[in-house]
Amino acid sequence: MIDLAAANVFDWAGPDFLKFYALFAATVLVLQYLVGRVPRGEARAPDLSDPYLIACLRGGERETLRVATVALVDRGLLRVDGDRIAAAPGIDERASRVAVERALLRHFSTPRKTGSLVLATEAKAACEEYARRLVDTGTWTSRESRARRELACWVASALLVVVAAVKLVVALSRGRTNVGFLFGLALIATLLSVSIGRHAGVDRSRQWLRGLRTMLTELPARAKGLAPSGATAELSLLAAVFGLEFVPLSLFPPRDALFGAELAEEAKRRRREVDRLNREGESGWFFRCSSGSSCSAGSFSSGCSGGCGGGCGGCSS
Amino acid sequence: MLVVNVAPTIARDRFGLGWRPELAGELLLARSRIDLLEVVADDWFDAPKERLRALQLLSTQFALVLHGVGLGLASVEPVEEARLARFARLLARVDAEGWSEHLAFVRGGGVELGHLVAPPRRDSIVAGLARNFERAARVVGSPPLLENVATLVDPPGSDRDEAIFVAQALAATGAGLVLDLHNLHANATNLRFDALAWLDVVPMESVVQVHLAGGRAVARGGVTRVLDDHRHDVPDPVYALLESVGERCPQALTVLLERDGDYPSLGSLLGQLDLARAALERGRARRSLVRTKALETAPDRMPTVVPDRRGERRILSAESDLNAVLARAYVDPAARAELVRRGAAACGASNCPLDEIGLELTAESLARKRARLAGSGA
Repeated sequence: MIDLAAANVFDWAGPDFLKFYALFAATVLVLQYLVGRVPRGEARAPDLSDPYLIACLRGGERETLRVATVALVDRGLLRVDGDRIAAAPGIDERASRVAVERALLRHFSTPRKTGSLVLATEAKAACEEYARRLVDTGTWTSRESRARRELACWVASALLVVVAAVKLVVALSRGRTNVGFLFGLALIATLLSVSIGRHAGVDRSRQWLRGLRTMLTELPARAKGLAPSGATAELSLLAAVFGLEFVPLSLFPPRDALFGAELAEEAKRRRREVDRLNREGESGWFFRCSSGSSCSAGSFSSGCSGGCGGGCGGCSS
Repeated sequence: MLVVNVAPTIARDRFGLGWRPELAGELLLARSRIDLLEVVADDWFDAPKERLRALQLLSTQFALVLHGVGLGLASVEPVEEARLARFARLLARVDAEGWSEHLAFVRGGGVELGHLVAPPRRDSIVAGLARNFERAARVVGSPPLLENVATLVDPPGSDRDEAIFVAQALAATGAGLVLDLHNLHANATNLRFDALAWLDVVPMESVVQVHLAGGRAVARGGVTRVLDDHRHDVPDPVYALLESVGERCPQALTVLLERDGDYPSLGSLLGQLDLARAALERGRARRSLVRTKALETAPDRMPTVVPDRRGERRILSAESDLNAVLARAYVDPAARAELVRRGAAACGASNCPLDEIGLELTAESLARKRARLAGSGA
């Protein structure tokens, strides 16, 4: 006959439960890894001659739309009046064969602020092609893979915490206070779970971007001498690879009128991110599991442009 | 293991440019119009990991060929194993089609010249080249293509013409040829020979790559010479030579335009590639018309009698000192004067004196190169 009391692991003596928990944690972590693992196929670099793809790589659809806007203004297809943009007289979507540019020309057929790009669903849809190409080349993890990995991370972490918590409650209710080993073991297991959640995927974005920035290291220094008015696409490339803040005002005077507020906000966000990372460097990074990541690949609200990543998933893989 | 095949078999002519950081943005944007890029290997030997990763990324965007300028294969002195090992490491890290070096020496007797110098054209150099080539192929893992070099002076100690020397070098090594047509044009001007006759002597089936560049005229002592500085547009005679190459070569060729300064817009460089494409096509078209006749009248490419300017042999104390004596002469005015004095005495000033002005111009050019290298911290 089965001894039910003996079968209830929460009634087990401390050392026995610790052995059980160690085995349980190992099993959970292995399963989490297997379920959330993204195949590490050989990612191939995407076509890096397309500034819009690079912009997407760096900052998602939002960045693609901004760089495309800069390119269209530079080529004289869009005109800036204060903080508003409109298609130049006589210009419509037929002036371009690039989907995202056509969508922007349609969007700005009536004068609007650049902030309206957030609502430009058609233009955002035109950017999905770039996100798809990044997924196809293995540069970005697909939404499905990422969601699966984040879910695996959450479930594994929850299991590890709940099982340890129940035992802690049982032990404390029975007047036993020597729970330090269990607490430590649970902490380590949960940290491992978060770590697996963060690193089980592939992310070549930063790798490609670092390579591009090194390759084009002289471009920012040469920026003031670049040919304006769409003579080459180097302005777009500069903005795509390094960001709009690297585009000199002498080359693109309406930069601050169009994007000044956004750039300032991004700069603040980056500073906060750096501060946060510095703090974490001092105090560790316990429990940063945030499956509600705002960093989905190609998400308009991504903010992946420099330092997003943390917790289960993030945008980094 | 030695890889015998020195270059990938290509189905069609390809046209590319040299990778230069100053042109990086435009080159990337013009990817669809550029078949391949040439990367100067020596610029990457000591590169930090970050730059090497960037080069690896570049190789995912373009076909790359690595081009060496510092081994100095054409020398009686052996190339140091360490230099070859660096080349091997780079080739292992970068997905390049292959590599090439020059028929030149860059050091001798411990003297670094800072740039390529045409070697004395004689048996000992051909033998030294063959030894260095074999070591290079073994250490690097694949043999290099060899490129003819430009010179402002008929290299002291030479006992044969350049075409014969190049043909012998290719025969001794089995290497493919990087035919630099501006170097050929410059040498034909500076040493007063017929560039087309040169093409008749050198085996055209060995040509794998063709290099194009521009240079400038330098006048000294009433004589004008062509300096191959890679800072000017490709001149018309070089396109004419490319047309002749197209006429002589049935195989698909890789044509590379090299530019090392005073950069024009990429549009201008691509325009020069278009001119090269047109010239090669004209030559190809002409080939089909004259092929039969050419086969009937083809000259014996490897003359059995090698011209021998015996006097110049006595300039050098020993074959093993060949490169050292010349290297010292190019960096030290006193050694240069001594070489000229002994050379003139040996040859007889009236019929075969050394080209003093050519030596001087070469020494000045090398000094500029060394100063530039020192300035760039290289």
